[in-house]
Amino acid sequence: MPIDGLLAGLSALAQPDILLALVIGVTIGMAFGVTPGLDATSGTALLVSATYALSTEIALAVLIGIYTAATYSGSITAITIGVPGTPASAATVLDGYELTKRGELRRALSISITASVIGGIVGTVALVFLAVPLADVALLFGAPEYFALGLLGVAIIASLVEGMMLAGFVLALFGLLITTIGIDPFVGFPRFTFGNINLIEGVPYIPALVGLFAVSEAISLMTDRSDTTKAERPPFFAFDMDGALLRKIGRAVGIGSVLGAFLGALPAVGAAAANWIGYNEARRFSRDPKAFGKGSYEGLAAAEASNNGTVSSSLVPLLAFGIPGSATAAVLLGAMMLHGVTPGPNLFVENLGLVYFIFLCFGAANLIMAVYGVFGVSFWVRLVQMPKPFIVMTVLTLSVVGAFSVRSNVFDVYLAIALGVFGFLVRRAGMSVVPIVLAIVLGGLIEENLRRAMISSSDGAWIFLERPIAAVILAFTVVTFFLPLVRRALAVRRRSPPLSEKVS
Amino acid sequence: MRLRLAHLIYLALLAFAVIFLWQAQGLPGAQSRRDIGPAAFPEWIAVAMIGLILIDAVASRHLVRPTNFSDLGLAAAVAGLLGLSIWLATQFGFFRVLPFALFVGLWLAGSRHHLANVAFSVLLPAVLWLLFDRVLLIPIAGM
Repeated sequence: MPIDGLLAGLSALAQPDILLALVIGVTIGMAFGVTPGLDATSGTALLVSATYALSTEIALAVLIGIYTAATYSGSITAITIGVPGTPASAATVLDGYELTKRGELRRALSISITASVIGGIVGTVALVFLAVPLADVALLFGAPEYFALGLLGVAIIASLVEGMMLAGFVLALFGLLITTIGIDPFVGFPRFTFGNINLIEGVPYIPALVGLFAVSEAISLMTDRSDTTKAERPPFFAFDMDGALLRKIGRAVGIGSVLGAFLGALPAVGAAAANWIGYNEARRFSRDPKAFGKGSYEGLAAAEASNNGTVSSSLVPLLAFGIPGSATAAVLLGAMMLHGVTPGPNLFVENLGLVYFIFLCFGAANLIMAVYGVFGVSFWVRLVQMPKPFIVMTVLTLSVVGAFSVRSNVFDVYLAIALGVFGFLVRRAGMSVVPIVLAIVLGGLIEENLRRAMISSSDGAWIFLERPIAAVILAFTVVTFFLPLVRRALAVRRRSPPLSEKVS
Repeated sequence: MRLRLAHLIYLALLAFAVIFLWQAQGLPGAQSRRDIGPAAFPEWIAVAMIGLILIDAVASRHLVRPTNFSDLGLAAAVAGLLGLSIWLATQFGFFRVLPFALFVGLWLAGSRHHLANVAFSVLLPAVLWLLFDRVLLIPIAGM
């Protein structure tokens, strides 16, 4: 019963250690978000192994706090120095920094926190109302459907990568190939271990995440030349909001929140894309579209409401189907698996209390974040001014510790470094590491369900076409593969840049 | 044709796929008539990867950026220094090596505030020791 789950979730959330964990998570998330180059994904990836020794609830509370706060706090950097703290606050710079230059720093920060909290809460409501019914549908799924769904998840992420035409797909295939390393799940024979005993269990998931997200990010930071020392510091109490201003931004916040919540629930459309889409849509429906880009309150509000709207709703595919729809959701999946929790429709049957606990954590994290946004923003601005070498060395040290912690194995640290260097080169080549990570997460699920479906089938591969849901999902996958190719081929023919959107 | 980083990455991935394809030939066959066996999935993936790399390398030669060799140098330097630090940590202990590694790392990364560097190099290991070794009971000292 939902009410039982809600009560169980509430009683778990009411524990002092859980609330403390949320406060710690939000604090860490604020620090990651304001630091240019670091974001929610690298923050959660770095600290997921530190939560290994904690209870499942405390671990999830810390990580949800980081995810929520890091997506918001990127706006503080965007508003104060005109550099987006995270890719999710790129559109925030347009009007946020203009307001600062006009001497309206306090007002800009107040709009940002108000819109972010409203967006975050709308996203949480969307998570509750979408995940529960979708999980009921997912209970009908068998091996063919899960195979098709896994393939679609990888294909969507891969299709959104910039750079070379098929780069996303090539990198996703590389990730899938990595997942075949280790003992074969059906015949128990070691594959592609090259005699290395450390690879018998396969490529460990957490060190791979730490390497691809955190180490590569730290190396990228070394090449970042942006000046973060010129930030103007607001007073301790920086909240400047009244009824008139709230009415003025109401429509933009509404558009941004709803759009963000909807876009977040779609696989692969992350906070970065929602930030721009929300901004553009608010401009289209605004009474004063010409003010956008020149210090518009509405523009700032829409950008911030939309990126935070995606945060909780991005967990819809993860909780309902067990398939992460974004990079940070993939890290949260890793954290859940580390604690023996398998997300998906069965979680709603076996541990509904935990599902509602996750919903409530997002709501509570937004409220804690509101307190941070109203009081003490000046502290976070000071953090923006921290010299980059200190940030780089902190991230690299935490990466080493994080990669080592899960299995207490030095091999995992070397693996994280190797993947980190590879991830850095991939980024510098204008591609993204997200398809590799998603493929590493979903590779096992794809192969196992492919083989399980084939074993259960009397007609061989026809089983995927005989089952209507699997057939429809596979058709989507094929379209996802060919559509960007056609669009890019047309773009090349017209000698214009590719039309793809960048994966954050 | 100018050397491009994307093509270098593709070359490495091509080698990776070819090695996997070759290794897959030595895997045992399927145990039942319906199972595809342990070799089939990686073989399909490797073949698809080789095919896509070859097509893409030709089709998008105008879309990729030229290689910046300082990126390769930086990546190699970071990997080498990190690898050396980890090896030293396994020989002398993580918390004995970390302060020195941090101090050298900060200096190499461009920080010339020696007092701040020393303070950071002592404080960060102390915080990590307290958090991981004492509070979370994760034995990172035994690296």
